[in-house]
Amino acid sequence: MYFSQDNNNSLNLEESDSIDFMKFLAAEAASNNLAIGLKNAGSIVEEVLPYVQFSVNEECVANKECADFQAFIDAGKPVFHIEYPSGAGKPVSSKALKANCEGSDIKIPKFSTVIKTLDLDGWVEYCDGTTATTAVEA
Amino acid sequence: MRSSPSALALGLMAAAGLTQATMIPNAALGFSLPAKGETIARDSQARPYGKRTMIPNAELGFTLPQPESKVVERDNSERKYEKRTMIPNAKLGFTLPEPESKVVERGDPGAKYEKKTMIPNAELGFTLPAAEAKVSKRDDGVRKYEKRTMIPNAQLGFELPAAESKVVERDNSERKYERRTMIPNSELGFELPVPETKREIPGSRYEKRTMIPNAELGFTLPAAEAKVIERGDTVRKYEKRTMIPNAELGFNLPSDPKLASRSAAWQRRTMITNSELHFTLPQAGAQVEARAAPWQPAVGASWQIVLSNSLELNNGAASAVAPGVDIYDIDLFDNTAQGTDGSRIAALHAQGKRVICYFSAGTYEPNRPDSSKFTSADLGKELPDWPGEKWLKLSSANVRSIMSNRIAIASQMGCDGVDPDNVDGYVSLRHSAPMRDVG
Repeated sequence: MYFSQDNNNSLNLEESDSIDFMKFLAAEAASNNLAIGLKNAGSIVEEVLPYVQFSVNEECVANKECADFQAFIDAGKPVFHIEYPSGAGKPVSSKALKANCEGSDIKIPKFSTVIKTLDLDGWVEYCDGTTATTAVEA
Repeated sequence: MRSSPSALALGLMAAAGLTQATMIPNAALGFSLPAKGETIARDSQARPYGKRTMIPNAELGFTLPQPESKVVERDNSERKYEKRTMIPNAKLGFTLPEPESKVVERGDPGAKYEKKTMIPNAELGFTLPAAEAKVSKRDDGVRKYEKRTMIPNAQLGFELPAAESKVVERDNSERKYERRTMIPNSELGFELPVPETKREIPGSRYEKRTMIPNAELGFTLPAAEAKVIERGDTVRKYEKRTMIPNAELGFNLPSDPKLASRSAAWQRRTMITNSELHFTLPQAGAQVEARAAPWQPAVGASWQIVLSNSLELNNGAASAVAPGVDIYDIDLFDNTAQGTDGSRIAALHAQGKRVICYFSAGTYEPNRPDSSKFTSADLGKELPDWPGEKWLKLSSANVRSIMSNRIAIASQMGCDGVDPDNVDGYVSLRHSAPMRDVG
């Protein structure tokens, strides 16, 4: 997660705003029979978890905050986990792959981890070392 | 007598053995009236009745005898026409004289309607057929309608059965229609029973019957067999259904898009065309099935996320998308021709994939099809390294409306789930460079 200590969006957004917003989105999704995920926002997982079906997380390993999202796994809900290590776009070193897939602050054996480039193009590497490139339109 | 002869006057004249005038069928009344201005010759010597004063009734369009006029005791020995053939009128629910009725000779062995219940009307001085009286095959031993409460009707000048009158001493085990709702009929000037009113069953489970406006009848009817299903759903959002006036039905219907989106969440009830009402009603007894729970992906499910471009799926059905993972997380708008074409998602489904549709819920992006809907009041600062992308005020009703619409689009496009990004504005400073590497 990219983060900062200061809130400089000029809207004075607080955690309570995000919690309320997620509850709204979750209700809208439920009324359309759609699953919904919580993107990042590790500090509001406890409040939002009951309303969503999965987590999408960026860089919890790099930021050492994977523990924030373990509650999803414990609740039977997947964590779709992305790391953006340098060198992504071609297979990363076995050491880097192991580090990104095992976890940092906690072990994350049940996270659904992908290694991606920051622009989230078709290339992907998985924890077993396999890579693939999904065909995309120009 | 010289006047606009009314039906009632005609009846009197007929009973008195008077000369017949030219008879004009009256569609509204269902029987004939003498031509207007027709002079009816009468034999005053044979007239057994006093001269009743006839009062033109503007509302009914014909004259009625003055209520107070006295009727002279008539000489029954001279009666010839008292047994006009009475025709049950389904619309009115009681019988009327046959429009071109033949005079039945008294004592005619072929007479069939001699047992109609006739109700003496003190005010008019003659009897009227009992409302709802059944004509044929009546068993006098179980007659049920002879004690209906008669209410003087000031407008008509004679009595009508009480709308909600109870029949005294009737066999309740056989009752079916004792609580017929009476509806004022502006054309006739008095009330009629609601057609096909269902009886109310004590302890009925249907006390919350939906009332449906009926354009043809001009009043509401209970929805046929409609059941109100108690649902404990706390996330129902009916306040946001767009209601569209429907000229044909004369009332509003929910907009089609919302119906479509709701049909995704709720099983469709079987709709039965109701020929009487000319529109469909939920099938009697149809149960609203429990809402299908949203898709719950499994812990450890494999996935791929591609947001840079739309997926290339033009190589035909034989070309499997790679990698062969469970779930694809892709951009909602980029992969659906801006929310108009669900074929790419359908192609992924055809390959057994689940599809999560990504959109930014907490930031404004200038290049989305609905970007113009945001107002300046919705926007905060620009995100570093993302030119033109700005934080959104999450409490804004406008922002929420736009995001609600995006979710509805995701549903319409066939997405299994949504991935709303940038919902953590409280963190706020977001930039594109990786913070650090591990390993």
